Amino acid sequence: MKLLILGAFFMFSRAAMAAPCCGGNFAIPSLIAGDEKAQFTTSLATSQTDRDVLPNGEWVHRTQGETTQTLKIEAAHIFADRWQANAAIPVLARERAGARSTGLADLQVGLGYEALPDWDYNPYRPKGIVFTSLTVPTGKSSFEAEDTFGLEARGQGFWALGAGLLLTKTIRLWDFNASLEAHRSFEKQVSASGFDGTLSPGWGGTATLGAGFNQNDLRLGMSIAQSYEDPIESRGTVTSDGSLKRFVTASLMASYLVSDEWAVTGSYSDQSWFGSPVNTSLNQSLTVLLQRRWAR
Amino acid sequence: MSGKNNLRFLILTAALLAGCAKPNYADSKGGGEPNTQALGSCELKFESENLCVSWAWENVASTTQYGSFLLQTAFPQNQGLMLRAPAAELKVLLWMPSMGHGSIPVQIEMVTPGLYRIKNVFFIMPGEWDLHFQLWNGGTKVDEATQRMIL
Repeated sequence: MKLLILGAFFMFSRAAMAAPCCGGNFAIPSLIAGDEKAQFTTSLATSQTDRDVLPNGEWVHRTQGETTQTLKIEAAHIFADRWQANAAIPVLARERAGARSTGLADLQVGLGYEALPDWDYNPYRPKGIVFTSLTVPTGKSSFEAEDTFGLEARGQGFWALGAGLLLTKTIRLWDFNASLEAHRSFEKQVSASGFDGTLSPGWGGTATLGAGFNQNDLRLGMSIAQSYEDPIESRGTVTSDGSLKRFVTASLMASYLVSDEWAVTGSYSDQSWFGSPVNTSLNQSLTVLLQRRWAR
Repeated sequence: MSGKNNLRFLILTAALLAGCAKPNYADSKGGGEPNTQALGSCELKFESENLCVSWAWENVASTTQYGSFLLQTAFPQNQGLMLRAPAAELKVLLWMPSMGHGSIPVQIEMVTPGLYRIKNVFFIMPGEWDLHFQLWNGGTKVDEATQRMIL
């Protein structure tokens, strides 16, 4: 039973996917994947950006690297038998060449519904949660930032509505998870010193596969997530069609169940290991995550 | 480990290796002299006023330092080019088309009619950048010449 708790507790303790450019990233919401009533997660991540990938797939080293610290507070609560609500508040601090900018990134709220319950602990059928998410552009975006390095950009700048499915399964000492998320970002009128006109983003999505090995109170896990964003078209003082963005985030994580209520996770994520990234900045991130759960 | 497990391990390892990134590093021009042009060329034009547009770095801008360049607008004649200021308002914008954002605004200083110093040029990150040379009449953009560069 403890293995079930451990697996469910951690299998969706994702590593923070750092911002490809130039601020926060769209993220899969914090979901209760186990049998808890509520969970509260706080994480601190530090990431380094030292390479970029051009739209033609060529990689470029940065002459001057950039670091980002992300403090994220996430909460999720069951409010009906199979329904849950969640929210995430990220605060970003971006630093480059001695310049630093700190502030709120994009907020995210969401709903989840346990569409495929696993009441009888079926040996094969996974547990499934469908979810929706709303991204609120509370963080300044790259086209609104006015400092030299664009460090004020902490968000995407667009309202976005997403939906997805999370599947989880524990088999003996192993747990597995898979998720698919798609979101639509909405057009925005911008009137800033560098641009006056309309920016039109499009669809985006992330597909994630993860697995973990559980032994006593320890879980060793890994995940791989492929993300995609449509080009951002600009029409105004400047007209351009944009380029699609694509990257893969690989994560390794170790988690420890301190008690039935408390858990701690350390993880490392790298966006340069897998896939064929296009039009993105590549990050490496270290994350420490503390989670408290309340049983039903 | 059993033979079946060995096979699973091999398949998983092969799948992971097949998915490994294969970096193809560009010959970065960052910090060097990206797309240097010579004043007096006529590769770029403001068609609406039949003016040749050319530019050349004074101090090369990069992702780590501010720079400036000279911008020339000139009327083509039989013997060459004659400096001429455009009748419409001149604007210069830096834009990263792939990302959908720009950089901090540049400053335009007129050296003489038809010759301008564009200061405060800075590129916030490497990648493809467009220099947009624009003519505005009131609130309407009437002409544009664009120079693509890769940092």
